[in-house]
Amino acid sequence: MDRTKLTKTDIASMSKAASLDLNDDRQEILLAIMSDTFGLLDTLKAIKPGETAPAFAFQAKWEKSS
Amino acid sequence: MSEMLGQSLASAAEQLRDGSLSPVELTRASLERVEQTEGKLNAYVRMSADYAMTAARQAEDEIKSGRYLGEMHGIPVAIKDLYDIAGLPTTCSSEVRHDHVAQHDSACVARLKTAGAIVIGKTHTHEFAYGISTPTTGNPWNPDYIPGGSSGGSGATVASRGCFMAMGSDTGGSIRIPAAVCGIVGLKPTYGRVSRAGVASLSWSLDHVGPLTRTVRDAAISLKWLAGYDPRDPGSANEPVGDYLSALDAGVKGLRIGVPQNFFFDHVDPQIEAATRKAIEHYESLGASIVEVNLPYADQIMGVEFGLCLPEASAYHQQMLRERADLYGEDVRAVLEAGELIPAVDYIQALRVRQMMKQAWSELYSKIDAMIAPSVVAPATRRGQENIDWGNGHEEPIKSAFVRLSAPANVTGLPSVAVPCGFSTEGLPLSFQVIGRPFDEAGILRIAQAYESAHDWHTRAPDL
Repeated sequence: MDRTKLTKTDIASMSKAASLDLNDDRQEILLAIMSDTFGLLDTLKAIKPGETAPAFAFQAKWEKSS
Repeated sequence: MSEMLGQSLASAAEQLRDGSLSPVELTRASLERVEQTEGKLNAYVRMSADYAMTAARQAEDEIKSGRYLGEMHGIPVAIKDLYDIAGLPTTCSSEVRHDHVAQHDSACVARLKTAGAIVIGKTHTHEFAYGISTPTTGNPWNPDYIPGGSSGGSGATVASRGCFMAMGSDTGGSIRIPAAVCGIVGLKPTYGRVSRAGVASLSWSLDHVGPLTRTVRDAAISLKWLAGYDPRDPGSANEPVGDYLSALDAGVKGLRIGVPQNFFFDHVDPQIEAATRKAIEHYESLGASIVEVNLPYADQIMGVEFGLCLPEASAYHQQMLRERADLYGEDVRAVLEAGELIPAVDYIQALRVRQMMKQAWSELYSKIDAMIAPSVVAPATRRGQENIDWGNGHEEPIKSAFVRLSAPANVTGLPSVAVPCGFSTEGLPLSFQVIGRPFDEAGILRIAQAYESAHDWHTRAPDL
């Protein structure tokens, strides 16, 4: 499935899922941007992370604010 | 331009300390210089002249009465308008934030004020730091060209001698890009080295803050006063602050300098490549050994950079985008909307690949002490230019082209300093960067200093 080939209907579906109201003009603008973005993100799919955990910043330890 | 503005921060600090220069004189000269250049550069969102002169008089009294605080005392500095300064608007150079007034100083501003620095104003950023051109502002070497971004205002004012140091932020290169194209030094410390508390976020996973200065020593001095753990910043690193000055002139003999064989020299302006390679030869002549290296996960660097930045930026702006969408500039609005449409699993994949990159770079650095590479792919481009033409029908949008060589140090969190290394045939600055180990800012500054002390690029000022 090639997600870099998008239609305005795809953009509308995605924006509905994000609760982001995009009119026809905005959907048109986002077609090229999302195509490029997914192209970049697809380069990450070549890497199999195995058991690698994400680089989250959360620390459970409580810190006092100064 | 007043002669007292042509010197480095370190030199001015010496004169302030021994009383041969007054903070009042120096601040007045800075303010006059900014007034002289603002018509061409538009580097500032706002000036704080009254505040600055009051602070300068206080600094003068303190120094005269023997209460000298250190190298930043009485030094005029500027602050990127992403940072909060109590009582002033933090506009992020955006209409969206025109009514946002800060309640408290950001951590860096508080540290600089405690050190006695004189804040003269707030500099333009590309809107919300989300871009590399800072369209409001001109490049001091040719105002028809961009000053880089997003810390373009800070780059322009330091290069034009309006102040001695300006704060920037760097999520995909936004300290190093303006430093590179404005011909000054830009230091992106290790992730977490300098507190981001009170700085508007672009991407929490990638945001770094740091100084733009005229010289490497000035950057080292600035970092001395800025570095330190801050629990208010969840990304702040509880690591001891290094000594950035005592070994600054130790040279590079015996150091192993990595030269990347992939990624960093792909599609780079030939003048920048030549200047960078000449710098590498210089290091070899000084006794460093040159080690050819290959960047791991080179094809994934931009995917991780944007896979993290886009969703995080959109998360930060989620409410404002729904309430004030029409107040955003079109370029920023579009990427914020795009970030909302990225699936969570892509974001998490970016975080996982980032972790793998971190491990791979750690192994890479078992063979080297630092890496030298070009800072940016090209000298400053014309304002309004959208693409770089690499020939053979290959064009690259400048907004991604200029991030390409700075992204590795954002994604890995490693410290990187941009160093001026010449001028193009069009008279525009060239720059290379030194990328070091985590929390080895002292190491990269020492390497940068070894180059700067043998050249005079940093002494040249634009003719404004």
